[in-house]
Amino acid sequence: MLPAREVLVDDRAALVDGRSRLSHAQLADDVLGLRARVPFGGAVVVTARRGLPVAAALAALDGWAGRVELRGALDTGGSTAGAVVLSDDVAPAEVPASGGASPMPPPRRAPAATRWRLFTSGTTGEPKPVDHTLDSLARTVRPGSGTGPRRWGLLYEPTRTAGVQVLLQALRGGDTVLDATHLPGLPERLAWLAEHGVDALSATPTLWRQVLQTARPGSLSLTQVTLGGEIADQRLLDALRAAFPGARVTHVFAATETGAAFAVSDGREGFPLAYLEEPPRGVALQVRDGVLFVHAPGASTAQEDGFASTGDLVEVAGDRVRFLGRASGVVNVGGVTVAPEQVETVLREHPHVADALVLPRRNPFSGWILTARVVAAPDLDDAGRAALPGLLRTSVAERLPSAHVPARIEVVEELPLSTTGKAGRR
Amino acid sequence: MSDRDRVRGAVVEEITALLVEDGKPVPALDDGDVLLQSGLDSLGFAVLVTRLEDSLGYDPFTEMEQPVYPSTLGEFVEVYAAHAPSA
Repeated sequence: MLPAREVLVDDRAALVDGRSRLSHAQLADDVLGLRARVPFGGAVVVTARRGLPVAAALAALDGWAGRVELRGALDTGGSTAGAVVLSDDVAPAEVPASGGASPMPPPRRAPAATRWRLFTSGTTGEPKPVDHTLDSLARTVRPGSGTGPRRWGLLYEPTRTAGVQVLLQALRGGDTVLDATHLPGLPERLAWLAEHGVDALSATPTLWRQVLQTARPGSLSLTQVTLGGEIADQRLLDALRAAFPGARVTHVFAATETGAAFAVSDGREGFPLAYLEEPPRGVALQVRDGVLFVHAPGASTAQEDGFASTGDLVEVAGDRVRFLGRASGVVNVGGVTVAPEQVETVLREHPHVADALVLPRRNPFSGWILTARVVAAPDLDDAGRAALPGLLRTSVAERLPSAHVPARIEVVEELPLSTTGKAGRR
Repeated sequence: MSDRDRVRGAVVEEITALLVEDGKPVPALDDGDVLLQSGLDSLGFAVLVTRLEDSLGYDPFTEMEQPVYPSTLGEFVEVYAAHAPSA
């Protein structure tokens, strides 16, 4: 492998990683010959983990393939039968001789309506497929800055929604993506990005807090700081503004199910109350019973008047609408959607547990975190009770992703009950 | 024992317990060590702060006016020592 710094980064580069570079022209010409190996209207499964093959697929297969499933490293349990599989090994040399790798002939027919299938983490821990059009995924793409292309650092998996949106920023916004995901840890990735002149970075609030905790966040000369995927709190926005004084700090609000998305760049948490009267980017918003609704007549959850619930609890305070959490009681722990009830179920299934209550708590590093109280089974002795919290954390970790594991498990004599006899969740 | 020593003891104890629970090696923890490189990930940080809130009785990160994101063990301990409720 070539040393990273020998890969040229210039204004014509669409994507650069540790060993290769793809220009905008190469992407437009389908340099990997993907249209030669995927039949028109055919199905594709992308198992690649690198950004380069994913970017090539986004550029070449929209309007060509019938369905493209972005699977990456995920074990979705789905079959690949009948689909063309694109792995990290995909290279121009593999194109069959009859394929005519590049440049491709213009398609003789109307473009296919390509469905792009991505997976969300869901509340069950099982990957849940959601189909999109590329246009809907590209809604968060920002137009060019006017001062030349930006260099966006890619820290997300390129096959997940947030990663695809960074890649689309290069494809549709004319910017350059620096794919840092070939490096193992955040400090190494940030050092590589700094070395390659990164000036724009998109990350979840949890990831941004980690960036601020690495030894030298100031080595990144950022002009654009973008937050998405979780609630951006005022404290973090202030810290980012202090760490990156030359940057515009933007938090993006996106409701996956309804396809609505808008951005706020005034450095304050939540969004201006005026947005309820003057829709941002044409997304009409309403607050009903403390829950944010968006006008999305096409969404499957839309009511008769075309408005659909985002599931986000909000409060109006002064001239601002602030996010409080999810109406369903699920919380976002470090970017992962977690349902406390699901963890309660797992705890109650343990033979040493008589009952369990799981409560979310605000956390300065992960947004939210779970804590649990359990009542031990009556026959459990003192030693067993003392060992129970550790056992239960292991037990939850074996069955659910780590964000579901309660930070602290307290063994109590009885659980508080509300007047309705339900566990005292609120 | 000074506040700082007491707080440092509590912090090291909770970090050690957390690493042991997760089956990770426990390094000798020096004040200059970067915590995210000592086996703690961001979720581990969140767990640590939650447990310290219960064992020490306060969470300095939600109390502080100027946000601070400590990198090293020493900086992390300083945050807790600076916000310790006066005895």
